[in-house]
Amino acid sequence: MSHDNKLIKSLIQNAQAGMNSAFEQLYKINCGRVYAVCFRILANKTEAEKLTVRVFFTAWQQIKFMRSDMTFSSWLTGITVFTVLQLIRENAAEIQAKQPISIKFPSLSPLELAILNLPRDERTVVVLHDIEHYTFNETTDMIGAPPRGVRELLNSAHKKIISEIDL
Amino acid sequence: MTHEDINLLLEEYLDDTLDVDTALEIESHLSGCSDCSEYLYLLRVLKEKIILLPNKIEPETDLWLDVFKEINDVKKAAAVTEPIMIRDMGTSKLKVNKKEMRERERVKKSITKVLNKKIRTKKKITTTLVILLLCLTAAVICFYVNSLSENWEVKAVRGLPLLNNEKVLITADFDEGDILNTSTAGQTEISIPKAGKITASSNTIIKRIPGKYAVEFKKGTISASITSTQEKFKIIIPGANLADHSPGCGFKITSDTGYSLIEELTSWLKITGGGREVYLPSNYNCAVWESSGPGIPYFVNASSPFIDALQSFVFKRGSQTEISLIEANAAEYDVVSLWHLFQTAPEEFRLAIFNLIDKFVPPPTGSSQQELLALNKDMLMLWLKDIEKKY
Repeated sequence: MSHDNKLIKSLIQNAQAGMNSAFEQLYKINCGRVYAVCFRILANKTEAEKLTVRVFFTAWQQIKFMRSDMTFSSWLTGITVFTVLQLIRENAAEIQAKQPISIKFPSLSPLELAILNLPRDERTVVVLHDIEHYTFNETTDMIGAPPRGVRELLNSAHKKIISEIDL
Repeated sequence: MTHEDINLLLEEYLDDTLDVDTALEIESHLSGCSDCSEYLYLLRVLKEKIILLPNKIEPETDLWLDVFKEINDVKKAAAVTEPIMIRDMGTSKLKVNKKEMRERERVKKSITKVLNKKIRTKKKITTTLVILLLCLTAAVICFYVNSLSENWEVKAVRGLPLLNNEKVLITADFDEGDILNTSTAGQTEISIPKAGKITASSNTIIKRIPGKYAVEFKKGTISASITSTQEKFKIIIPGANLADHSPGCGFKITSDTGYSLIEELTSWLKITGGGREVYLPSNYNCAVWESSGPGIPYFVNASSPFIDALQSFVFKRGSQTEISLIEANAAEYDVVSLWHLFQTAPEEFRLAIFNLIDKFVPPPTGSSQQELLALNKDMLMLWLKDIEKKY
């Protein structure tokens, strides 16, 4: 919160005081970011929407306990990643999309499609490490896999993307 | 480290998160391995492209309602399970809940206050409306009862008048269709609610016209005082109808076979008949013929040459001689006569009369001579109003 601008700080304080309209503003500012993380990891619109709702609901429940040394955005991304990964662990089999991603999302860029077409674990690692800029160690901790396994996933994903798109 | 090991570490090498020894080993490998060098190059390009990916992707639908629903559901559930929660919680949480409860109570009170205020306002409006409605109904009923109870009354002041051939000893109702004949009685009064009073002299015959607020004056002499306004009450005489033109007019009528003389005593009287409208101010007289209606009114103290010239002009189909006489003898107080004459005179004499009136009362503002000469009724009435003011 210390690095948030005055508006965000004010919204956080009002949301912490129970004002729904303030929380709604925070939702509007951050919705796209939360949805992007969910959608890129899950590669499924419906699931991403459901998860976005769950993330914001969790944020509403937890906002009173938000640490003052964090920005709202990073705090919310943490909740998002945690919630997505939890969902993946709970419903691993169901989440994987059956259809090729490119058919379902023709408007996306080739790079975005290449990422969405990756296997779920590789996609997750790419999103966390490359897009959300978590460090290798942080990514490893989040995934809960051994470092070598994460390295292999990341390496495999990058090679697939490179072969898929025209760099 | 093997080629595969180094290949796997290239991600971290690019991130600059490896320790110095490992980084040096990788750099040494890269100098001799074109595959790894090429991959590192591609990886760098890829990372640069990934950085350019949008930070946000907006969902196709607004999800706030779903979020809000979830929040509300929890709030409702919390409200239901609150007593149990309080028991389960520690002292600090109990305090929080008490605070929340107080806050909720405060909000509840303020809402109740607002609602009560609204209800009170609504009640006040309804009560006021009901009172107004009751007042209106009462007023209508009073008016109706009053109009029923306030009958026209004949009062024998001197002598014994006949009402429908029956003697009136003191008073009697003067109902619709009744005929009053004062016969030899000296003075009889007719009180007409909200209209005024008529005093009839001997040998006067008056009939109350059924269904109208009017009497028919057949012959004799009456003095009438009309207090109604806007021509509500009418007296019908042979050849004309009489009504107030301005409130509070009092006049005397003497009527005999086919001829009546009206003497206006106060205010203005309107006489309608023979296709004309005559306005009679106070101190003016007007003759009414049963066959032709009202003549030109004249001032009671008008000069004889003026009255003669006026009569001559009207009855003998006027000529320039009469106009010259009128011009020579007209005084300021004759202006009402001139105004009436102006309307009945043949077109060739109109300009002369116009100029004569103009001498005493100029035409009204906004009117034109042409319009007045063309007998524009609106303009003429405006002129009459100016005359009334001056008179």
